[in-house]
Amino acid sequence: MVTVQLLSTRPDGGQDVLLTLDNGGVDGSIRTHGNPTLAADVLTDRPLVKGKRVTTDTPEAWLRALPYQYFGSYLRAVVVLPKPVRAVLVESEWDEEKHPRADDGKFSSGGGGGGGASDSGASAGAKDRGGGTSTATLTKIDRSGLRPAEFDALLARVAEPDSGFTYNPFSHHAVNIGDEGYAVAMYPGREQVIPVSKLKAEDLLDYALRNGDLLREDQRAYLGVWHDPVTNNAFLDISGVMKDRNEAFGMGREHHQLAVFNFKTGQSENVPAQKAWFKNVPKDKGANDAKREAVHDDAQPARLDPRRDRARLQARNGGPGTDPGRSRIDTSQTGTGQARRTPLVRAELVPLREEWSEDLHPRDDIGRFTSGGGGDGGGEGYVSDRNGSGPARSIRPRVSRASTPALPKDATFTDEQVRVELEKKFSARSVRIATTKKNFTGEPKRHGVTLTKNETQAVSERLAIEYLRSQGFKDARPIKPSGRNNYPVDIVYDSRVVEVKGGDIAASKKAQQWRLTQGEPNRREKEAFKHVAAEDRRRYGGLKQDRIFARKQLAQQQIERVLGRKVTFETITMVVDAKSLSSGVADIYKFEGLHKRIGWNSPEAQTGYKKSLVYKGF
Amino acid sequence: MEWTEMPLEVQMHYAEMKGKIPPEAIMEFERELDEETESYVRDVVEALRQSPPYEGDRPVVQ
Repeated sequence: MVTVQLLSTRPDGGQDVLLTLDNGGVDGSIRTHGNPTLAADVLTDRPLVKGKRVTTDTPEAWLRALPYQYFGSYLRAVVVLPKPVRAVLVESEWDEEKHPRADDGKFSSGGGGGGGASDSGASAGAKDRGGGTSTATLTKIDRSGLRPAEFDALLARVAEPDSGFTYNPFSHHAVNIGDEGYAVAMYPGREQVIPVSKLKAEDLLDYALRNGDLLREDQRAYLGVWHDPVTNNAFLDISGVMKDRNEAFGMGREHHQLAVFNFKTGQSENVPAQKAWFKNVPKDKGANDAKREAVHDDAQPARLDPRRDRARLQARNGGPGTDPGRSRIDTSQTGTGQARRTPLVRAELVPLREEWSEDLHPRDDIGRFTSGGGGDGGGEGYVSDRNGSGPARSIRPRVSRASTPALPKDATFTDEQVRVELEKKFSARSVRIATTKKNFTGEPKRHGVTLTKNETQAVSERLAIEYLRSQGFKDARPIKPSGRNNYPVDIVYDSRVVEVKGGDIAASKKAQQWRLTQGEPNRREKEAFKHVAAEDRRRYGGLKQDRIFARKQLAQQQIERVLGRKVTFETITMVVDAKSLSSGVADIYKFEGLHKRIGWNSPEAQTGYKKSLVYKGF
Repeated sequence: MEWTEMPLEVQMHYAEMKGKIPPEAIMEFERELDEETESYVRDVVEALRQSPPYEGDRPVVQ
């Protein structure tokens, strides 16, 4: 059974349950909680109620039809869902501009309506007392990007008194003491206080979801949590973190904060009084008072930390709800100190577990991950070479030809060593190329010669250089391999860096993709893999891949900083159809930037296709 | 360095692997990534210093 409650907000900030709608909204009953007059006011002339019975199809329709109470208090509705599913509220801001009023304060036509929804949504079409249309919107909660498992670990971070963290659970970026940056309490209305003894990972998750609008869209927004050792309360807030000192202090002034937290020093710094403020004060006693007040502020001995001294800061700012620039903060309803500002509503429950997509992780007929499969993480949780499946291994060229590169048969090499040897061998020969029509049709081709992945890669890199040179870039050349596991950089030309990824046209349909390279697992990882389920190994491989990709992007910025100029990164990919070890046809694709994965049949690949070459001479 | 001294974002990134993959293994991978990133930046910078942008007419890749 779904229950909907309509809450009225008292002038002192507290909230009362005004109405309860039971039974999912279909012929449900209404309880007025001893306030039938206000309940009648709310429901008068609404088509959704007959007597004391509700006649809507859904609780959502009922909620949409609710009026916005503009006489001194607002109404707020919540959906209470049966356990163990938790109702999550999404609050939407009330925007006066979207709800015009007449001179007497009543909503004019088109104004008013259901609770301050701001984005698109269905309108119930019911008139409220002011004559407006109810337009409460139901916002669907987007949980993408959140990793539920993180919240257990985050909870552990605040177990100790005076501990805490500053972390964005959507971007997965943390700011630590010692980092460059300043934290400012930019959204004081979003604060929440929960006793640490009652704090659960779910509370952190709910808080992140409720503030997902900021955490997703404002790159400066972070979830800040601090365990107050005095009260043993956890303070949750949305902190703005910025690297620029002036911006941080400007923001602090704008939001009437007394202090800004400096991560580098681990100390709070007072925000100087705003000079412009003095200009607006008459030059009489008031000016002196203002000046004294400002001096008093500057002279505060406390280096207040907006994360840690929230109560004191609020008290010095006049307390919650007294600043006309802030919304009222109500903490009475849940007993958790949850900060709430505006009405409305929404509960939408979606399983938190991330979906595993088989499409991204191709398998062969007996369920094993195929070459290039295993997805983010490779078939065994890691990727050892360009197309990635399996660790470094004893090299046994699968090409039964006399021209196979002469590698010691019983030696074990790292992939990088093999690559170097192959590159030397191929580079020593001249290559002849000619343009031909596109060879890859979307279907795997079974031919007489199967190249190893290293061989495919070496051929692809050499062909990419020949291709670029044929385009006029005579400076295209390979970068000296340096034995890196996770960082293949293949070619430079014209101030550009190119990663080359080759694929064999014999790859099965599910393996038709180019993927980010991931190195061989280390000894400890290999040892751990013996006791870890295959799914966890794959998941771990995916996490590593994400880290590699993120680090590559940071490395790009470093390179540009060092060189002092813009550097372009590109990806050139191939589908190689080898007729022999030294000849064949290759389709060439080129993409801007670096990529985790590109499917051979994806629209991106269709756009990236450049030309096909017949080659001979390797 | 202890696992608890790792940057929070790293700890969070691997949170779901807690109890499955030992922190030492993850830290070793992260160390390798650190070293490789440094080497990567150094090599690419060196290569690009020898490969200045084209001046004047630049070939067009077709």
